[in-house]
Amino acid sequence: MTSIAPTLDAPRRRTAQRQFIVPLAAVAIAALALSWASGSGFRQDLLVMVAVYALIALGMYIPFVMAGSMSMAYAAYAAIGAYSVAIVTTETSLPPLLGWLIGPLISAAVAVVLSLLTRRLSGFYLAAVTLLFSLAFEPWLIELEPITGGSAGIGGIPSPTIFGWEAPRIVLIAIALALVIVVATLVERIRTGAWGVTVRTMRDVPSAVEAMGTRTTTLTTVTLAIGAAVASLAGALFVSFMLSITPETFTLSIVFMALFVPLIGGQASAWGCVIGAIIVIQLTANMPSEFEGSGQLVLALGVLLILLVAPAGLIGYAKAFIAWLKRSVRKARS
Amino acid sequence: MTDPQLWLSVLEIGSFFGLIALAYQLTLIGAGFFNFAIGPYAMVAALGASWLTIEAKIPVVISLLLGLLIAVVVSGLTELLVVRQVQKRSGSGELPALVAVTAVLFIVQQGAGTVFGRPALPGQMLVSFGPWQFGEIYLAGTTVVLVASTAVIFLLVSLWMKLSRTGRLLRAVGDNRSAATLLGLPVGRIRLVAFLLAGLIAGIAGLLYAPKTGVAFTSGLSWTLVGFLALVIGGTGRTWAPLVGGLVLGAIQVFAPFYFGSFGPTTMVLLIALLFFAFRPQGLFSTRVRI
Amino acid sequence: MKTQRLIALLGAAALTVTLAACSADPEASAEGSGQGSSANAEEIIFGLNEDSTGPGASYAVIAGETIRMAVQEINDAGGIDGKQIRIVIGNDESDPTKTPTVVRKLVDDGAQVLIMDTGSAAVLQGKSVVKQAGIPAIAPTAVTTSVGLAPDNEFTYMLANGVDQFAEAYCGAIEEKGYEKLAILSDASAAIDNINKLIVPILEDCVDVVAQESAPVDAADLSAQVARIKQAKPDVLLVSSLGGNFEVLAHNTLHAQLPGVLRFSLASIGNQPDSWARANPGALADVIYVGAIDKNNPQTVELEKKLKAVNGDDYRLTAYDAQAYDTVYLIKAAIEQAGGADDPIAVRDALDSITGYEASFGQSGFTLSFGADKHIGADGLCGLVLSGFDEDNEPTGAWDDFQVPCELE
Repeated sequence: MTSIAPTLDAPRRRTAQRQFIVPLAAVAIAALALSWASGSGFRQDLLVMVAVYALIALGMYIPFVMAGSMSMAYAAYAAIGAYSVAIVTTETSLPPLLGWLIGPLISAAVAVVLSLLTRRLSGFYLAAVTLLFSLAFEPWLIELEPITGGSAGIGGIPSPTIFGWEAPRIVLIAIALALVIVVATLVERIRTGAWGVTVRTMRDVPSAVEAMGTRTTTLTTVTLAIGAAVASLAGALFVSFMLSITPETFTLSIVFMALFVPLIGGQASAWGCVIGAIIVIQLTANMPSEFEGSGQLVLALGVLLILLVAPAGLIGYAKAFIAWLKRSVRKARS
Repeated sequence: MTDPQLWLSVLEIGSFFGLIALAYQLTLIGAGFFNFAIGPYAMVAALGASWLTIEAKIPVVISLLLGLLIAVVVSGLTELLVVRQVQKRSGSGELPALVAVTAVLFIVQQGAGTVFGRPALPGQMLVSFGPWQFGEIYLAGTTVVLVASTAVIFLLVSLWMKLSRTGRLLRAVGDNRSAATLLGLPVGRIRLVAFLLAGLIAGIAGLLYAPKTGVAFTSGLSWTLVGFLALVIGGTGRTWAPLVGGLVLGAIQVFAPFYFGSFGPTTMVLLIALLFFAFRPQGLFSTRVRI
Repeated sequence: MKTQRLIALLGAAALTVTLAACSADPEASAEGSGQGSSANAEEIIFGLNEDSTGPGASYAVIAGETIRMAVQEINDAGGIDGKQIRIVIGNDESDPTKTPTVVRKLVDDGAQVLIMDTGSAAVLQGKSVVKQAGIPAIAPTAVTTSVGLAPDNEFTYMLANGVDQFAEAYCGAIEEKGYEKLAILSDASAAIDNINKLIVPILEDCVDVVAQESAPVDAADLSAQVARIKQAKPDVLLVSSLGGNFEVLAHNTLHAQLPGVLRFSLASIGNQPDSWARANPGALADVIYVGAIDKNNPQTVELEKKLKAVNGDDYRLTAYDAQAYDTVYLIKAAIEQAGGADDPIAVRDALDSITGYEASFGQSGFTLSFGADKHIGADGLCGLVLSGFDEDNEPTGAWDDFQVPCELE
């Protein structure tokens, strides 16, 4: 009798162990990447850009991929994050960490406002409003000159220090990659958790969620706020390495990037954002010079190819591969 | 509000926005999502026609027709090669189709830049007449052609949707796609027709608008955004709703700076859009079925 | 389905191979940091960041072609101190988020000097990266003054007069012609806002600014702004924009609404031949733009001959060509002075010591020089050549009514 009914503990223990496999693998890959990049400013830059794009994509993941709400204000959120860090470090003597906290808070507040304004409307109105917001945001940055430095932006930003220690660049990059791993792990945990399942159900069958007693509009607003905050971190990260920011730094193409990256990596998991970011950076910044051409074109073609041939993205591909492996192993055993 | 010159501007740009919005509406009805590649269709028609006339020295009439043909073909290919395949693979979810057409937007843009070159080119006109001066009022010949053509196109499309078999099928598909499929209506063919027609209208819009200040491979992006906004304002209830949306958007873009000069026109559009959504979210003309 | 999977598998494999190949790239397995690690001792490497596919492509490509021509010319004559020049190329598509990566890639590819042939926002974003890399960079076509100014300008250079100096040229002309009321029509971009902040105070000293209107760069129509300007009854106008569509629209609308009123154009509309045909017939006849080409300058004439020989007899010389050409030769001079390109700091210091270089643009006698605190090459104002158009929207060359006086060192 005891062998038929499976105990509850075994699967749970296995799931708990499995939860750590991917983050640990990510840490290992990150360590490899760091050694690959040591000594080359360009490669270090690639890693930074991967981190930035991964964070923007992760910011798009919860509201868009999970909840189905299309917000196009991502350029503004990234800019808010970047300017917060820039202003705090150059114009105040407060600790830079404050900038990292203020940016996401402001972005989340903006996202909440925009979401509430369109909560009773179809998702495309949110897209329209956030798009208009994005377009109007750059003139505001220029107008608010005393705070934002106006059209010249803010330059001469000091390189980030860790409690006064001026760490070498490679250490800062390690911290950046760690940040991405932490955020991706968290987002993935959210996705598989109870709340995440509710959000995903809301995208496909909103009435079921309403029947549970949860207001879908509240849920949508929360997802948009989280997404905005995460995207802000991307901006803060960018400015911490590039050390200058202007109103024109984050263009509308960031929004399209945020759409493409999760798709390329695979929507099935938050780690798709990281994988997608790696591929996008490879295609746009690291092609051998024989393939030099428009980064935009290569990326668009790549996205289309993936959509047509492997719609589940690379992750879906990897999953299919692993499933096939398992099947072959089982067949070989029997 | 009484300056006739400003109203002429509203008519001119409102007509262009309305035509692009109409193209959006057709693909929305036919395929159920916003085809963000519409702006580049208009661009490629105009840029292609200009390039053919100037660089390839082809007579204007033929270049204009070829430009239109390019827009229609690109639109059709989008449906056949991209939308159809993506929706087959990924089900009816909106996200993949939306991302796919955004990719098409960039591909068409860069493709046009590669084939027709990066510099901007002047628009081509079949016959050039005007400009006329009525006292203080200046009226360009291109404005007259654009506004008149827009009225004619909207009329024709409206009649087509009401009277022709394909037009009625399109409306049926737009109203309820699953019911249409169950009834055995040729949903795929209808969708292709919608795309081809949208490409044609977008192409005409591009050709008529290009003479104003020319066209470059990058023009499509802002045209796409503006058409999208015009459709959202006008709603999708009637065939001529996009035109009204275009005119309203044009009016905002012209009169807001006139009265609130330094406040920033983009901010004005944002504020007005927000007010609009607060009080009349379905757009000016609501459709019976929610999107 | 199976074939699909196969294709996807092949695609993924190809991608992995590319990634692996790139990480095993021997050129990038650096022995040092920042220095041209793999530079063949017998060659000098120029890093060219050229926007060939983005919004700046229409002018960046012109400059890029002339850069290549100048390098070829030097190589054919034996190179710099016997070493041939090799160009490595990047393309940031004028996108400031891409600029830092492209710059570092060029550095990794061995670039010993950088040429930033890209949009002004990208150049500005690149200043701090160039400084971090410690490699001198010249932005050949930049006219945004902040490119050459602090902060972060220790390694960045520009050649031409900054747009703030245009204001002095305008004032000279306004005083000469006796105008009293100026109206300004600008686009709302950050770059123009920056420029207006510099030039409007200077203009206010010499004329009454009666109206200042602005509109988004991609505005579809400017009648409203022009109607407001008309209400202020100006007797002279200034169109302050980056060029392109906005500039054409501005001139078309102003020509229609305020015919006969002289218009100064900040944008180098004279350098953007694709704009001329897009303006309405005769709309440019009242335009005076700040050009940089004067056929009385012997260096200009010589360069035009060379370019026509290479590109055909109907090639039109623009300021972009001249500035690109001078950039290459300035770099050559600096490297020769420093005794080689291996030490970027020495090259930078050599650049800082260049004086009296006879430019291929500007009025006859116009020179360029640099200093530790002077990273904008123009000496005096006569890099500016006020120029006009005829009724067929073709440039007519230097304006007869007024030219900025040349101040020679």
